[in-house]
Amino acid sequence: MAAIPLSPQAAQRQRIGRFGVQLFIASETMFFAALFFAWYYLGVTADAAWPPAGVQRPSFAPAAVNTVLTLMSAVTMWIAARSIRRDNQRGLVFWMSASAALALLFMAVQTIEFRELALIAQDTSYGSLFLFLLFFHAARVFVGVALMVIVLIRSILGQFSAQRHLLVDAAEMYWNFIVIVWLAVFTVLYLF
Amino acid sequence: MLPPATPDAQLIKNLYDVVLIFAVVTFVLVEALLLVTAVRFRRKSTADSPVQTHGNNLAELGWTIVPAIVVAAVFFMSIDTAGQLAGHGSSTAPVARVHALGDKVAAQRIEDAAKVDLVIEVTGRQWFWQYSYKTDGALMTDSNDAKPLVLPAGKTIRLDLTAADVIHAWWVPQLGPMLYVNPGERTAIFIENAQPGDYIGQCNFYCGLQHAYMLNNVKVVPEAEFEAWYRGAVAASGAVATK
Amino acid sequence: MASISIPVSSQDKAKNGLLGWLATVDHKKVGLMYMVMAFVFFVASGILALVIRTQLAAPGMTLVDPNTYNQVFTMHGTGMIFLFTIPMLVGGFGNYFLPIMIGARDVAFPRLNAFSFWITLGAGLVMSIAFTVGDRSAAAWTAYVPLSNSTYSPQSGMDIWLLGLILSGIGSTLGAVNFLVTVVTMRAPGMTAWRIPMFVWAMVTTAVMVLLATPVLTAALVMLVADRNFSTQFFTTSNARLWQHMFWFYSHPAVYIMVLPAMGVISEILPVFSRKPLFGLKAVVVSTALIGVLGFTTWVHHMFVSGVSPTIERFFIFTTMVIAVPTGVKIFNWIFTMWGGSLNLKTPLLMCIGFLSTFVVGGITGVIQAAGPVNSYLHNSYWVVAHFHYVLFGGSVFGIFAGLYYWMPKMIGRMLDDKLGKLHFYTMFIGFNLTFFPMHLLGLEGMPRRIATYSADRGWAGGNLAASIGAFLIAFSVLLFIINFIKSVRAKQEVPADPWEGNTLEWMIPSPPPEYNFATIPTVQSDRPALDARNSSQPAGQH
Ligand code: HEA
Ligand code: HEA
Ligand code: CUA
Ligand SMILES: [Cu+2]
Repeated sequence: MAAIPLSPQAAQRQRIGRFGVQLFIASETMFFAALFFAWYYLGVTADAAWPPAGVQRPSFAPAAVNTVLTLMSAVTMWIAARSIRRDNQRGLVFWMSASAALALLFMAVQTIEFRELALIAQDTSYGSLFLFLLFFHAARVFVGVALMVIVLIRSILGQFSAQRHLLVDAAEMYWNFIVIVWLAVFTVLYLF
Repeated sequence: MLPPATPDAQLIKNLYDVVLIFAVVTFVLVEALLLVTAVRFRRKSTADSPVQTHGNNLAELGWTIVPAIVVAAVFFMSIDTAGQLAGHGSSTAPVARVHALGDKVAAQRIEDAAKVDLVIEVTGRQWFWQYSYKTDGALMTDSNDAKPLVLPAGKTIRLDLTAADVIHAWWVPQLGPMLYVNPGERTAIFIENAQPGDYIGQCNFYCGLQHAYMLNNVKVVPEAEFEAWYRGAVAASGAVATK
Repeated sequence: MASISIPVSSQDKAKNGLLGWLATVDHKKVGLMYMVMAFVFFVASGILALVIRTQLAAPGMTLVDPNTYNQVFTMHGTGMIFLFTIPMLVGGFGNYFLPIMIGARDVAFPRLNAFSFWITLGAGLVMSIAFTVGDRSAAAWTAYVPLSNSTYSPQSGMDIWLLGLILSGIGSTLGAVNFLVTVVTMRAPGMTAWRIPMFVWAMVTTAVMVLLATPVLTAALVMLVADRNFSTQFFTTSNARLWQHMFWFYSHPAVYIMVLPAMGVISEILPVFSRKPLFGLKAVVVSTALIGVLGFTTWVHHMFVSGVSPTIERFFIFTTMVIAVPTGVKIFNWIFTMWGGSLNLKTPLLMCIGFLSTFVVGGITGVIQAAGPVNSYLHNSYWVVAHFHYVLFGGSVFGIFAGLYYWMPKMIGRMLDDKLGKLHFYTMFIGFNLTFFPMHLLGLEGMPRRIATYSADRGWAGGNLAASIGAFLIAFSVLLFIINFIKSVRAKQEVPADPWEGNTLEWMIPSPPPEYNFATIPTVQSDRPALDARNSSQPAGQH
């Protein structure tokens, strides 16, 4: 692998881009932190039980399936990004496709879940927040998938190399963030 | 501040008066320093070249510590007064929430209803107040528009506050602290040992169109006069005796 | 070295046409567009303030009905904060000067930067249209539920207002990302941490606050929109306090978002006009950062009488008062920057002195009203209105005008007239104090805020009349500024690169700067590079 070193300007662009994505993720984190704060606040100060009496927690199974899918996608994403760092274009295409497939599967499962949830959202704060956390997470998954598709197209066109793969890094970082949010959502909404 | 008419209002005013002294002294010192600097160091010639001081750690430490001491003093005075107000039974904490948040002192105070001579349920509505007297003699509701709430002097009175629509606020500055009147929640405020007189109160949380006209005036009268008024009011409203 | 020379001829005339402005991604043009937009909203929101002041000039006035009055003060507050102060300081001054001061040719993401501007402008237009064609929001700038929900504010103006705030939030969040990346990755060689200008430090702190606080407001706004339109149940009556927490978690940091950049501006001007370095630069940087951090811990001081528990109240009294300490450090360091200096009492410096003298009043009244029991008297009274105009007008607006007088020659290549500037300063200073000082007394006399009128027997007529006269004096002073600006733009004059003997990099490049800012990226040797350059280009002994 004969690595052609990047010009200082190009290396700088990559640093800038990565840092920008990280900061964007920081602000996204605060958005979810706000929703979790609302969840916690309403839970603690609710005069009645939380979840309120008569409200069924949505079934555990789809969420558990999605947790497995999410964790798998984190692994495939990691391999995809590692491939291009080693200048393995085919690896990138393959593992990125795998990640996108897992993400799409996730969304399919989520859609089923939404059908159930739409009903409780309008009855209680509990249901509303439950739905919102899932919905805004799902919206991020959508963005994540879009990013993966763009990366895929560009990797098929051979636009990435061991030195030039800012977008791959961006997709990886953002996806990791989505995975972590899901784990938090799963823990808070389904486990406790 | 308007002249206080209860010990609680007096406590608030005392605190304000002391804090104001600190504030005025700080204000005068800082502004004087600024003025002296601005006048004394005017540019005399375009060739002025002042000594290039980059800082002074000792001085900077000084103006960190001195304000810190002042602020600490103000803080401790504030929580001391807050504690005293609590001791008097006045509370800015809502009954329901107090339990949820586990504030034992406040909860105890409100439970300790034995001291309370009179409980009145106050409901804030867009844009008037409604008062229900709960004594062991009778329950009487006095729906009010611009009519003052009548209270006996020298007693301990608890107002149980709630709102029927949006947030309002109970504020009779001369009788003690202000408190929001929240829908879906019951908060309590105490009026203790009020002096007779007419006191202006005004809804102090923006509650929509007629917020400016939502008065909660209070008329404090000697006990005998209150009893007479109360009997008359009960008779007039045809309220039912609840014993 | 990363210093690439660009031929001067690459400056393109066509780029100054209308299309050139609309399509620009140059941080300076974007900055100027922010400023123009913000100033327009300053005048518009100011005119609404004049409506308020006319209505309250005497008891029982009927210039507007209560409904209109409520809409007017709602839009006055919203406009001044979200469409004037923040876009002016962060979008305007930040965009124009942050890249130049660190020796960069642009921000990190120029196109994203232009996008932030257009989205902010969109927010402004959305709100203005909703305001001018009716059905307006009237729930105050704090939009507390339940008043702002679909039962009590059924009008579509409320939804549009929420949408506008969401948009402006997105705009400023993206802007914050841009600034932070720019400062961290694009500084000129030699610009180490302690050589970064104070204004840039202030913007960095501000950007961090914007980045972390705004999403919380966005979440709350989105939740309220959903409640209003999709019957979700976030802010039901028994959850009303949740809105208050989320709103103030953003809006308290927001007050520092509005004042820290202004403090950054005066931290640049004071040294230049005193011919001394900033006194205790490190202490000022650390205090600024501390204010940024502590700013996230005080929000409940807006809710002391809303029925929070006494324990929580005590905690937040403490955190609120603590902020007086780092703020005090900055105030004294500024005064001692002037102490022993050679003060060039031109308009920019006067505006800074105006900032210092009035901000201190606002800060001290803030500490007074933070004292729990005192707050239970002063909350929501005109005392609070006095407090926040002393910090917002006395702080941010004086800071903004200081910056405009200081940097106008750099930005448009024209000096503002100093005589007219001084007249502007003195009328504004007097008008300001005449308007807002009496409000303290009105508050003590029991006048609540947000009332459309009051009756004569309350004894508030005198103070209100004074305030109203003062407001028109302020308006007159702003008019003087506008005249001054127009005169300067028309005047035929050449401004040298460095009319003030500045310290920072922007004074080493032409006025106005070329699109690429620096023909060669300078190498920075100290915290006052422009002074270094002046000294080395002059024979020893002079100056
Ligand atoms: C630029 C904006 C700005 C700034 C900087 C501040 C700064 C401060 N504010 Fe203010 N505030 C607002 C804007 C601002 N505020 C607004 C808009 C509202 C109303 C919102 C609404 O309801 O609509 C508000 C409301 C508000 C309240 C709620 C009032 C109420 O509704 O009941 C409180 C209460 O604690 C408060 C406190 C403070 C304090 C302690 C500071 C401190 O940071 C001040 C620190 C500064 C100093 C103290 C001066 C300098 C220091 C020295 C010279 C050292 C020596 C001093 C001492 C020893 C005291 N503010
Ligand atoms: C940066 C913020 C900022 C600024 C600069 C101002 C500036 C002014 N504000 Fe206000 N204000 C707020 C932020 C600000 N305000 C907020 C957040 C609220 C709370 C809202 C709420 O309760 O929800 C508020 C509320 C508020 C109230 C309380 C309303 C109420 O509670 O009922 C009042 C009352 O007097 C007031 C007055 C003024 C005045 C007279 C000015 C003046 O200084 C304005 C001066 C500017 C101009 C006048 C414009 C320029 C003039 C010209 C170009 C001249 C030409 C035009 C003519 C002569 C017509 N403001
Ligand atoms: Cu009721 Cu204001
Ligand atoms: Cu605050």
